[in-house]
Amino acid sequence: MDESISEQLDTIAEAESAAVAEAKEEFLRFSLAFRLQHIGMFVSVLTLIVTGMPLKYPDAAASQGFFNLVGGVQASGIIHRVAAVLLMAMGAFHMYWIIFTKGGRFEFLHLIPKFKDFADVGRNLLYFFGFSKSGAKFDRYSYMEKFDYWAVYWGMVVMIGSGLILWFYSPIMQIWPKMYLDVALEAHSDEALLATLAILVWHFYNVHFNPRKFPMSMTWLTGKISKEEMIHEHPVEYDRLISQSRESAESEGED
Amino acid sequence: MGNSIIAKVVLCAAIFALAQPAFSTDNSRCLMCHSAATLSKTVEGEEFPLYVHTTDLISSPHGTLSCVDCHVDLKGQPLNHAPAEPAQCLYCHEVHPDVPHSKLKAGDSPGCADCHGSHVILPVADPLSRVASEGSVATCASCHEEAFKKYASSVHGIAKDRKGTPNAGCADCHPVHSREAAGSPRLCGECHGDAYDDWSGSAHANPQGFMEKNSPPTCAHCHGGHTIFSMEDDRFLPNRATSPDFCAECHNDQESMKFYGLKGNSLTSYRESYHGVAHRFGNTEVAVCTDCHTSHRPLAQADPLSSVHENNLPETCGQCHTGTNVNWAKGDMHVHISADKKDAVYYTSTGFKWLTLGTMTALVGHIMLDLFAQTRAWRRRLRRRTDG
Repeated sequence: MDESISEQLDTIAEAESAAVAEAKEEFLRFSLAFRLQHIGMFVSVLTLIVTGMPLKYPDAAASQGFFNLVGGVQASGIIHRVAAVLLMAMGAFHMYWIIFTKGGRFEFLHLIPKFKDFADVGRNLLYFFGFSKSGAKFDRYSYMEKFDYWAVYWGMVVMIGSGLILWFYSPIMQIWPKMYLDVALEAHSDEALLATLAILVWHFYNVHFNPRKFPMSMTWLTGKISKEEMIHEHPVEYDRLISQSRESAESEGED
Repeated sequence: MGNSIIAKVVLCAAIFALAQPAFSTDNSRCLMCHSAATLSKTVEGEEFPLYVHTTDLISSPHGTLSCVDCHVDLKGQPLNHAPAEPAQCLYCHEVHPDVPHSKLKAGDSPGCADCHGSHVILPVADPLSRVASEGSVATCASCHEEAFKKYASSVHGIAKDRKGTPNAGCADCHPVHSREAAGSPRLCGECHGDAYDDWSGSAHANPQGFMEKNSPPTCAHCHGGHTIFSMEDDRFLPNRATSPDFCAECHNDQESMKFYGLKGNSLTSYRESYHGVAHRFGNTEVAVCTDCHTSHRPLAQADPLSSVHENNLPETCGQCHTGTNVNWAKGDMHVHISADKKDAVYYTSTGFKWLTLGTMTALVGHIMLDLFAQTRAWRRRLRRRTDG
């Protein structure tokens, strides 16, 4: 397994790394397909949050204001379903992308949790509490980024699953008792809160409010990451890219 | 009591029998003066006509009586008699002693003639009668101005024909001569038979006790009295906009609900449901209390006749939803998460609560530690720079 992963990484990294990688000031971190998925997803998720939360918290003054603005609960429900279709499309495309495209497989294989991630948590904790001089050195994805990805993965399964049950309640109740739909509604509502909090607190800290990123990391838009950030945040990946580019430069020189 | 009624009937029959021949002789003596159109008397500056319209009197049901049958105190009096006492109606007519009018102080209490008139008293069935459905309104309104003002624009006060006959006159709802309460369900049922029949079989009509503070509702509790509007009118109560809050006046009152053995969280759980939230934000098409529980025949869910009994729920839900079946009845209708009822929804909610608390504690903790470490590193760099 490890071998096949590293083989794939090598082939992709070769394509990515130029002979002059060492001299590069910027690296392409996210491909266009990657960035478009992120944009499609956050547009739909933010819309889903805005149209969904007022139903969960009808007592809030903002909820009344929101429904007045969009023209009532039914109109809001239509917007919610349109956004849900976009999210499901993103989910479906993502599944295609990670299975059938080289770029997608590359990212997915890097996102799979490994033993190193748990060790990195320990290393970082030692660093945070002052028992170690430096924190964990990350590869392409830190355990924080992997958490983000898998939290979304879990969230998509729960939200799309329960959401579809609630959307098509009548056909569903040809088979299932109402009680199951009550559970689906509760799960939809509770997971929505968890996802919203994770995005607003965790993800926004990592890409907006972290003093190193404030006011915003531009990588989601340009796909690029500076050499300095690369060395600081993904030193393992950086070292690999450099050594690979050296090797390929040497082999070119031999030819 | 029975004897006195029989006595009265015999007496009336006797008067009728004897009155016939007596009329011409006795009354002619009275009419020597009282047929003069200008005859009147003045009491404390106010003029009272003493003229009797003979033709109308004779054509009225009392036309066969002689004057002194009613003006009994004048019997055998000389022509120049003292002012007459009020005419005696109770020899023939029975009035329950407890009716509100008879309980008023002597001076305020209306006598028979105040409502029925004096010499021309028509049968109640006659549209021209002062106490008929049509005529009673003007008669009652002469004293009950406030009630009349409210009533006039109500659905009962609106004319049902060109003659101005109201849909219901005062006496239709206010039984004047019996002890039956005004606006009692039975009276409403005279016209609104279906609603009355439904209500009679409902939990509202057959409560398991009676609580003074929140007595089980009759028609007027929910619909009001003088200000009942047409169902097409926005002012009709309770309507689709007001129904949940309106029902909640009793059904959200914990003390009352405990007394009647009902759940006290119906409003809360309705408000938490999609129906409740959508209704709250102005959608009056979604189900309100009466859509599922019916307006007039709410019954306990366990009652097989109840619209919310599990056998009947598919049909009840089917009023709005398509494809309803037995599965629709499998689960709580008023879903409310509570530790008192540990069902699948409760465990889902509790599971997510701990998952959320745990996750967010870990994430926020990590953020705090990261900020702490960044601050420490920044201060160390600063110190190194100043030292250097």
